[in-house]
Amino acid sequence: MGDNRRIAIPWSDLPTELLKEIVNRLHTETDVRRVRAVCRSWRYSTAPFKKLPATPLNLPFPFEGDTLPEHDGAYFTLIERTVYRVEAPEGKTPNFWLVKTEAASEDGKLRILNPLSHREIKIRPGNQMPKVLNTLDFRVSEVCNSHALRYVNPCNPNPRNDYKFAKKVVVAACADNEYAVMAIDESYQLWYIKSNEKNWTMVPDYIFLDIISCNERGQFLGVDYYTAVWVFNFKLEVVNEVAPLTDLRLSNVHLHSSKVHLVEISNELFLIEEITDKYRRECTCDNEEIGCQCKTPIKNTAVEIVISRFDEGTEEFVEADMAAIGDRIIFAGDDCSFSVSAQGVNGGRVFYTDKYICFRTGNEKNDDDDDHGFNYVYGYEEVTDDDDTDCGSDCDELCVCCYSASPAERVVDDFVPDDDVKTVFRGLNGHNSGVYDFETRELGSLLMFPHYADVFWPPPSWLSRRRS
Amino acid sequence: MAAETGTPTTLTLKSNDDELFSVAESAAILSVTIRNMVEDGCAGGVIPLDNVDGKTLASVITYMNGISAIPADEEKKKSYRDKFLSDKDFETLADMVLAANYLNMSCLMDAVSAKIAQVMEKKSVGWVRRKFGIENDYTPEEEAAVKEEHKWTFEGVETDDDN
Repeated sequence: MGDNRRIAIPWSDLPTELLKEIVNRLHTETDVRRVRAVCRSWRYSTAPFKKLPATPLNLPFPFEGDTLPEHDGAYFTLIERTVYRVEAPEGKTPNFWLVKTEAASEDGKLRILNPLSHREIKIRPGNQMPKVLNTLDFRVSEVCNSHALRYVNPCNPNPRNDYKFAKKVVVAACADNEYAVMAIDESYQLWYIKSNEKNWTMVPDYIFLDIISCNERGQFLGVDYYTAVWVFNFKLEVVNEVAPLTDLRLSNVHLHSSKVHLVEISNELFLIEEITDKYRRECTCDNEEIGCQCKTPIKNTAVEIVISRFDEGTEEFVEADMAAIGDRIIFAGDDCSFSVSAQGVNGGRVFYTDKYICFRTGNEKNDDDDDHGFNYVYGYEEVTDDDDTDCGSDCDELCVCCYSASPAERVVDDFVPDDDVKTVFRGLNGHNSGVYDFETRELGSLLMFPHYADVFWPPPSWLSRRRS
Repeated sequence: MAAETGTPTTLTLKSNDDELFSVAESAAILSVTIRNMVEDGCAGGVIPLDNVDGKTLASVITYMNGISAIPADEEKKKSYRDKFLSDKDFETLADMVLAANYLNMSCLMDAVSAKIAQVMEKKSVGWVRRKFGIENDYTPEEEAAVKEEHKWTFEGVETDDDN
């Protein structure tokens, strides 16, 4: 046998219906676009990737009830962003570049965003970055898609309101050309709307800190204030509300975290929590009658990042085995969280956003639309310029006695970045971005650890292939 | 048709390079093509499969026997399929997808297609062309259209690297 075996047909002559079968199993627009770039027969026998829902998509504002007069005529626009991983040509470093983009205009131009937030990155002449990147020259893959609801008010436009009303937005395509959108509003309530529906519906009576969409599971996963995990199928039926945590350390987690992010790493669910100084302060005043004598302000800054893994068996978050995720770089961002394999770059880090970091770096501007996180409380410094900022539901729980700073906080407080580091990072708009190294357990502003950011900032010099 | 009792009915399949294979009818009828032949009463002698060579047919029969031995448990069937395909080299996958299509075996077709899709994922166009042995046969106009589709033009990049 074998000798008289016919020669297999060349792949380019694969029957059209079989190629379609294969292409139907590609999950990203980038993968399908690539197949359509291979040869004529592949191009003409396959259709471009169809995104559902197509963006931009207008959706009703507000989530519920009547609008205030100032919002007359306003609506939400659902926009999509994509995080790409661009591999370096052989022998170049860093090994890859991560870039988050959104459509800037109808002519197909792209806007580059901070991978952790809604903020646009400004590429400056000092950054070696081409105006046009021919992605056929590179190996490009999609890391994740994320969505945002931009507030549009034709009568009263104000860029500060762009992302103020929807903290986190996720989208899923269902069967039969239908889609579902879920969003956490500024008071941490969870809403959803399906294609053909005119109004948002609330998931009642719960405070949600994060929601993600898992295409492989066909589910939305949410985490509430009590760190219970909620599972919704894409038809938006609650599949399972998992019991809250029982572990003592983690069961108090919602009291300590300013921000909670769900992120899938290798098909497992992880919880990334930012523990703030509010809960790490050390009170030196034990006499409540005469009041606090150590009036160091609370910064609401993250002083610890805790990572837990969701155990499918016990349906609880358990302490994560850090060695198992030591080769990952995790992004716990405002609009989306994701992780990538480090592959030749140092792994074992989490990038996060922390409103307070902008105070640490001093010279950067302070924007009111930064996401403070859930348990944000007003410290002395912030009251003046942030009085319209949402601070979660427990501002009233602010301890009136003690504002003393923890040793950990003093360290970050005293940090002043070098001028040349500040110059490099000027365009990133990352003044509220931080990084946590879970081997050394150090954390702080990106500017404290500038080389950690090299997979996304500054843009690698190998992107610019000068024409000879 | 298959006897309800006694020894199971066996079919003889013939590949396009004239190899003969015996296979239990209960396993072979995973192929809708073969099942139709059986139901049409054409299975008395040898069933010729003109579009499948011996090597591929042997492999498909291994799959038929393996998967039909697993009771109705989709998880276990999936893990069998994954294992079955894990040691197949890339060229074999092309033969398998053609055979699965010809034999009308949807479960194998799904699994092989997904496996081939996986090979294409997250690669460069050049890599896919090399791997699949495909020439770039675009006309200059088409080439330009493809390039355009793959171009990222960034807004607001202040750059001095064009001079």
